[in-house]
Amino acid sequence: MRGRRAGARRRALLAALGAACVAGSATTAVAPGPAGAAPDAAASGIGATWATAQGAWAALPMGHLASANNTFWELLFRRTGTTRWTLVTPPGVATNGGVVGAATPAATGVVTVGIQPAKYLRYSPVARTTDGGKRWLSGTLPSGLAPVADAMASAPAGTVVALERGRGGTLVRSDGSLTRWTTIATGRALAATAAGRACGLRALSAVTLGSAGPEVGADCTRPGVVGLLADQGGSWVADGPRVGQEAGATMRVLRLSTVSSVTAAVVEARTGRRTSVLALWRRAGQAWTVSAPVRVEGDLVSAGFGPVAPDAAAPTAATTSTTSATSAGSGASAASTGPAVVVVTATRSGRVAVHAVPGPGARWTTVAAPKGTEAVVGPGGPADAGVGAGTTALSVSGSWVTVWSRSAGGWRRGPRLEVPIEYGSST
Amino acid sequence: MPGMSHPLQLDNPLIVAAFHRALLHQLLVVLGIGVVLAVAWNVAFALYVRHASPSDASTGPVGAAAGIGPGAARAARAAAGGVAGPEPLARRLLRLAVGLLWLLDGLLQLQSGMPLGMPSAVVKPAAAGSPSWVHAVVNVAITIWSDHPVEAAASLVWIQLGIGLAILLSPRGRWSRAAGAAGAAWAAAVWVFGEAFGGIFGHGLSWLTGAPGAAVFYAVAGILLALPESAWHGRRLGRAVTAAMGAFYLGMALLQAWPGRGSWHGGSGAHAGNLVSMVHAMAGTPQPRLFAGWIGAFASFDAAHGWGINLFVVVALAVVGAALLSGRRRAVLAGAAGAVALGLATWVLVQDFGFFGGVGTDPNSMLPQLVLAAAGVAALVRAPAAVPEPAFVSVREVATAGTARRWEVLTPAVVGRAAAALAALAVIGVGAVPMAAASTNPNADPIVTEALNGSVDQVNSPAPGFTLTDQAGKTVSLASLRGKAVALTFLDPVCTTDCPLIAQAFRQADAGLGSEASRAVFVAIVANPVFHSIANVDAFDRQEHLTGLPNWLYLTGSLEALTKVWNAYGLQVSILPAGTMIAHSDLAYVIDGRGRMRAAFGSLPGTTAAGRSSLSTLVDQELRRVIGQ
Repeated sequence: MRGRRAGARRRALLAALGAACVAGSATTAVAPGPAGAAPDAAASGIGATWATAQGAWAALPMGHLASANNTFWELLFRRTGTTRWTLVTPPGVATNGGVVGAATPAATGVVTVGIQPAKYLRYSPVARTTDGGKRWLSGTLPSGLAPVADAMASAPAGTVVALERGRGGTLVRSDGSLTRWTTIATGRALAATAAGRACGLRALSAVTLGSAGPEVGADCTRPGVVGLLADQGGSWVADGPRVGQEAGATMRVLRLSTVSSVTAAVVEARTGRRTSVLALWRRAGQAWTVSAPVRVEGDLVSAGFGPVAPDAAAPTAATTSTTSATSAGSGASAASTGPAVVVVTATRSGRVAVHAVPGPGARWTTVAAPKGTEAVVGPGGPADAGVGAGTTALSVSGSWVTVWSRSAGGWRRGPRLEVPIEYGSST
Repeated sequence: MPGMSHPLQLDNPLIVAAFHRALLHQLLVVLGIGVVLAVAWNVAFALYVRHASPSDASTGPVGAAAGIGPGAARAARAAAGGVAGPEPLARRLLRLAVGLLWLLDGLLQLQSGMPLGMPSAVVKPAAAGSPSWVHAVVNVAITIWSDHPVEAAASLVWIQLGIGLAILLSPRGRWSRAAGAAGAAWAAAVWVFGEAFGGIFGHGLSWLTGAPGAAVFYAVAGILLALPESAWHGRRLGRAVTAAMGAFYLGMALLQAWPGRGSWHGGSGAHAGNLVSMVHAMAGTPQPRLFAGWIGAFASFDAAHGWGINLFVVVALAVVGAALLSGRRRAVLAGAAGAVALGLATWVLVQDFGFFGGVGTDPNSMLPQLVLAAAGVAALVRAPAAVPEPAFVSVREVATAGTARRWEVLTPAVVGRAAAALAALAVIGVGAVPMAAASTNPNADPIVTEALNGSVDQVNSPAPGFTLTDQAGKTVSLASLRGKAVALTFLDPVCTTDCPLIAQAFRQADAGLGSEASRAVFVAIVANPVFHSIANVDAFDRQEHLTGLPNWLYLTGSLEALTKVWNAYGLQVSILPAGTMIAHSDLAYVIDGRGRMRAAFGSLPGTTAAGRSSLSTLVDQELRRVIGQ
């Protein structure tokens, strides 16, 4: 009797376990969800400013910056000769992931903008304007743009190159349709070339279109080597200089731009916890001019270039101010062969600093900037040793952008622009 | 509008109404079972009276029913599993208290916020701070509950009421032990899946806030009730229980004293210690003002004297633990009194009675813990004398012993107890069976999506025609889809939130149709006036792995053509500035093979996997309805 009862109990227990397994397996059946895991809204890293013949552009994050889904990257434009900034963010797509822009060299006025993936969107819509952002022509990349500031570049003929995510960065080219793209190279493939090995290429981090073709910047592991690779007739060659002053630092190209035969780059040099920034300029066919490194504290917020005159004669100065001026340059004249470079950094305590160098051979100037400053743009005129009157800082607080102008007395608060952000629209 | 998804409110009227309806239906089933068992009891009573021997009859049916007479005595002894004498006091105390607690827990499950509140307001917070494997375990229950909120919530009501009834109505014997075992098993399941192992793998575990989870004490109580009754004779069990409780209190004292766990400081705001945070949270739950006042005052007191309060708690727990562990009668009694005082104070001032706020599932850990301690003390100080384990005497053995006939042991008392136990079992089954059936269904109930979007409009009118271009560049019109059931929706190809989820719900619905998928076509029309190129559509299809589906069409066209279709189907589309995605209504339609619109419903997928699964189930349900006609 006991044995039979025990057996029955065992059978009941097994039956219950079996039922539990059935229930358990049922719950593991596929439930509908997005085709891939929802990534956090990945910011494009740093904001960017650039200049065209039509005016100055700034791509910067706004909204609730602590919340990825309520951070909206906005594109602002200031027409040359005016002081008014207008909101020109391409419509029809959420910009929580970031906005990257590519200005076409020369005075075509064409600006191409790519939207970084965010949440469930994993490819990048792109848009092009020829009228300062009033009207946009839409296109699309089949994949997501790399999360870097210069993930796109364009040429006057309409060619656009873009740096997509994956495989160490994938370089693709469009003939101008913005819908058909062909792969040129991948970061992984370039890392295996002699040029890639020369800098210890980890991933592609910027792209530009020079007169000879595309050139890419990279995040490299070999100390002291700036990862720049140029496409010369189908083969990629190392093009970056060695930086003696940062021989022990690993280099990452943050920005890369070519305007009027002058290619300029902003490079981050890291040694342990120490971070410096360098500016590089090169006129086509000539050697690179490398600025002295400027030590920065906190996070990089944005980096930008001033305009270049068609003859590459007069770079734009940026920033100014009250705090110390650091660094050393070669002492050469600022007039000449490249645009001004402006880098904005912010510490966790909210201290914002602007580091500006007017052009090749000039000194860096470091000044304090208003709290919340996301971008600093030069006045578009001649450089003034980094303390140019009329330099503009754009500070952000929620939906508001405040325009600050630099004058002899410091920063002067200017007009405020309210951006109609739809909070919660991307949650 | 995409991107404006919000979680369902706990008091969603559709879900609450369905919950109440399910409870009513199940109550009718329970009452029906009760009637059947009552009839059975009466039949048994009548049979007993007709066949009772003269000696039994001399006591009369009333006497037999009350257990008077030799037959009844034999039967009572048989039903009790061979144990004579009254139920030991400690066991009775434990059984009644635990039975009542289960009843209370079952009644708490009746709260209307339970169907939607259990995963988000109970289970997830319980698992917060636990390692990922705990979340993985807990997610099994969350998924089942979220997919079938009404069945799940109703099931808990009946299962817990059933366990409570079984424990209360079965005082002796196998039924009673089985009820205890059932309670222990269910409590263990609750501890794992509902309390995330009582948070013991998380941070900030504290006796004050309920560690190691109320269900642990229910489970231990159930195990004690499942022991043979002979175990309650003598002092051994009492000694073991009080010693275990003593060790538990000492362990909790050590945990409470451990530095760096946030127990030693009061503070406020972001710098508040564990206790202040917990008490503030409890004070904020909806409850009578009097209780909120008490607990608020204690929160302020603790914020100012956090260190002192923790020191008191540590010392008090250590003293109570040592007293219970000592095994000496007077020390144990004093320790038990201390445990009761400390426990009740904590229950009121820290745990805030445990069940306020609309989704309280039990009175937290203090009451079951004190019940356990009290039973242990009673078993120690008021235990009946130990008797040798009597030989088991089964009903069959009694019936075949030669001196009694089979019917003789079926006295009304025996049948009554069996009927009561069966009734309790039936109550458990009323909850468990539908839930078990639901849990084998991986598709969420359509009611979840209906709660989000409103009910389906059953219509029967010609569907507006359209001629657009599909992802391959081919022209597609509604007329060209004649003969097939069409599930139609509108998607923004560069949407970052809802549209990919809706597309996946459609993909799931396609898979769910099985062989009938060939008789259906899933159609999406672009809902973006800016990004509406074929390249956009193609990129979206690739992103969502829709390119391989033979019956998937993503249609686009000129802005003029799209606008005409949007207007015809009542779709609102607007361009918003400042980096905001297109705002458009989330709508879906099912069109039959003759081009007639048969169902219209919102397609907002919600913020949970259950919402999306539910949408796919609804689409399937409506498509099958059309295909079947």
